[in-house]
Amino acid sequence: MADLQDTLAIAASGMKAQSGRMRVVAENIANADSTALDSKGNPYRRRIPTFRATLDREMNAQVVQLGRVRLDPSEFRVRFEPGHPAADANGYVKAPNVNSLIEMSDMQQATRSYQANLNVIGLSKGMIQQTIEILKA
Amino acid sequence: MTVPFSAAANAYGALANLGQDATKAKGAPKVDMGGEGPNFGGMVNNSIMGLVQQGQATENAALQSTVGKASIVDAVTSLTETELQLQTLVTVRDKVIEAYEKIMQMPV
Repeated sequence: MADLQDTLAIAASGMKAQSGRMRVVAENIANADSTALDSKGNPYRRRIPTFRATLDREMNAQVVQLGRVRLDPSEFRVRFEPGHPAADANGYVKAPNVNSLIEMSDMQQATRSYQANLNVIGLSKGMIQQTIEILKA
Repeated sequence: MTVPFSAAANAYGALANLGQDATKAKGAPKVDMGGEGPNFGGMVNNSIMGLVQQGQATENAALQSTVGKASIVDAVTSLTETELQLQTLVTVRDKVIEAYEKIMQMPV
């Protein structure tokens, strides 16, 4: 029974990690148009969530944690907009390296992972309840 | 087949003696609810104590998530754990009480 109860906690750690990932994706999508204040600065840089397996000593099991949020080192997009306050001498503005398609697929992945962990919780709860049901009847 | 009435009486007497002998040999009353061995009362007591602690943690988690300080996942898993613990306790208690009632209904 203790194994099944640990399962609940482990799956919960997965759900927490995926919600953290969702938060990072939300940051990226929300800042998809955040440019710099002037021509010298850099616009918003896309953030990448990382996951880390950590040993939970109480349960003696590997749980997942959201690791450090890294910055995407890829090139910024550039678009021509001479009137923009952040435009350089040639009229180009550096835009964030956020690709909404990638963010969308990342979001889908987070959702599916979250659902998978939710199913783990639901099924282990069902297993525990079915075991208790033996005593009834 | 005929069984003499005295045979039954003898058997009852022998049983009673057996019981008395055992009591004398132990030098203690037969019914001892507060012994060191695992007993039902102690088990229920331990379970309820564990449940109370778990319940307080759950209530705290629920409160924290309501005011937006803790994640909803924590509150839900904590609630689920308490619910399962309570179900186990109630079911085991019902089962033991059922067994007790069956014994009490036994024709003596």
